[in-house]
Amino acid sequence: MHPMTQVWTATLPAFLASTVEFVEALTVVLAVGITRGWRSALIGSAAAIALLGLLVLIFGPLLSRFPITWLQIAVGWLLILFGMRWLRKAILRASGAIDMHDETSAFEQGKRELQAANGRSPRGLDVIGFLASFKSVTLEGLEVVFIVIAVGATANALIPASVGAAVAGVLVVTAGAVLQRPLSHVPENGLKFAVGILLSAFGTFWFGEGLGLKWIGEDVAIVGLIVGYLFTSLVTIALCRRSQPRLPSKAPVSAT
Amino acid sequence: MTWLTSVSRQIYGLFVEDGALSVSICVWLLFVWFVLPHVAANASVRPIVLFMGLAILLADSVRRATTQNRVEHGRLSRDDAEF
Repeated sequence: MHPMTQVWTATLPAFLASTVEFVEALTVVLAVGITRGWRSALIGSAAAIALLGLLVLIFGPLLSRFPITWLQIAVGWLLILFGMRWLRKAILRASGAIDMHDETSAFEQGKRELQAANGRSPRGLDVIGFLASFKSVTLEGLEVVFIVIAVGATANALIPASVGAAVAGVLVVTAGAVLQRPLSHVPENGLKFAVGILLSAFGTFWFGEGLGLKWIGEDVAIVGLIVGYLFTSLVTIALCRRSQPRLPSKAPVSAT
Repeated sequence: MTWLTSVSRQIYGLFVEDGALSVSICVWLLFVWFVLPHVAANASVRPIVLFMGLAILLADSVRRATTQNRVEHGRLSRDDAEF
């Protein structure tokens, strides 16, 4: 694979996926900060980021020790499962079959739950705030870690993938710090749609590479796969919209 | 312990949402890996077959979800709408 192709195939999906996940994590951290105090929110987030960074440092180099063929098959397989899951969800949301994710609603619900929770210690760290923040950043960050390790190890570009995720993190945190409210205007489903297509395309390409399939145009086949998945998704959305009567929307759905 | 369960569920949920889709993807990938080389002699056809199968499985999964939605209650459940 051409070095520049390696870089963008690692950086772009890591950046886009990280943006989505960091926006969701930021919503919870903001709710924790406002209701339980910023100290516990920030320490919980920092602890989670340290844990996630450790996972990348351990598993990233470890994976690169495996034979590239087996790595391509295993990571390609997992990326197909992972990417298809994102793409399916994005298609269902775009077609109106399920509700869009609503950061503002998730933020309000998170605030209500945290305000209702007891256990604030008069001195020291607020344990509930710390755990809520730590859990949210860890769980949302696990998807980022998987993508960074998967695309980074397979394309031999762990650093560009990590940089993509880090840039997304800095942008989201900066925006959150400035606005002091959830980033509900980020086109989350559009990003999920794009990431689903990219990861499905890369997964398919790497699985095929691992099997020794002869791709037409070699690396350029990735573009063909992206176009192929995009076309499939758009046609599927159109068919779903046509077959499904639009019903009045329910109350917005909260984040997990 | 609850936290560990939550993490395990999250890791499983990274790859599996529609169980039927995940299983059929795995079966298709195994087919392309072990059976297709004996069926399609032309090596340049195999990547296209790999992609076409995956695209069809994706579209079918969405179709099933939409049909189920229409048959049941107009929309998918709140749990299914969470991500």
